Amino acid sequence: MSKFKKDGGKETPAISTASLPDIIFILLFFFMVATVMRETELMVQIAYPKATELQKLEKKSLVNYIYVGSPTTNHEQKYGSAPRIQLNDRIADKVEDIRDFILQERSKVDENLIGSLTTSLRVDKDVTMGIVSDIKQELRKVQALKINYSAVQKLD
Amino acid sequence: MKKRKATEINASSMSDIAFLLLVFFLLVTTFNTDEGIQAQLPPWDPAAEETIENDRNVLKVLINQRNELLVENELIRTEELKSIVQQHVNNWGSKSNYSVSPDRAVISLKNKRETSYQFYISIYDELMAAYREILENAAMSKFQLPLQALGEDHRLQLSKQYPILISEAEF
Repeated sequence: MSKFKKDGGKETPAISTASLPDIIFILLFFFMVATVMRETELMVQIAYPKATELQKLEKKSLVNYIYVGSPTTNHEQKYGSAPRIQLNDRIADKVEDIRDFILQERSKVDENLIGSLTTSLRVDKDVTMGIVSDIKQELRKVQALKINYSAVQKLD
Repeated sequence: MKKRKATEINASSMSDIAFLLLVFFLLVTTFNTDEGIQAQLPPWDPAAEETIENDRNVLKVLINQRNELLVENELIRTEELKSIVQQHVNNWGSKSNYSVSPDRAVISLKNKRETSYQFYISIYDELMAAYREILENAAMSKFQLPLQALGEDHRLQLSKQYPILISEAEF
């Protein structure tokens, strides 16, 4: 029995934390690769609708984003709670502003790439189609015909 | 000169630095969610509106303000839409109310202002799924290959034969 008895008085060695930085660096690299920089601060709440037939947006620099949703609690006082349109960093006053927005974004890209500009409609799922139809109408007027309805993968 | 033993650098603060970097990236980045349903809008031409009414090549799909789905003015369930679209596209003139050939088949999707966006997207999704199945079947029967394995020229040939023509409007 005494074979298995511990020799008393010996201290347990401290656990080495030398590999902790390595673990953290692996986590860091994962997040650096898997995420992208936040381009704009969202002023509207958006919960994307679910769909199955999704396609990835390819060239990030050739995508314009239009956000539609109810203003977040911070901006509710100023803009009310009805769904609003956000273009870049501000809330649009009227739907017609989209035309200027598209023309402005279009002037930033190379001329022969204008045809491949895509407009990504990031619309909250609880919005009614009225506001979306108005946006589509405006986009047609400025010949921005390639659009993408943002959605997330449906899991079933 | 005295020879000194190389001093060991204390690396215990390395993890703190790494943690700071990690937290920074967690805060300023978001996960890539750039996915969605691709669509092509028709050009703006007020004169050309509403000329496609009573055409056998046009499948009329309506979504009303109560989020009900109507195909050719008949109320149907969402699950039925896919097979109706496939019948319409692959009709080849056999039924008088469906299309003459796949390259002329058009789906006219109309909605009310009060229709919910979520329901609209789910219907759009069904239409795209129906077309994807049609393309997959065509790829199998024509080239004996799954759609993903097709070359660029075959794929182009297929999409010319089965163009996805969805017109979106309000009613």
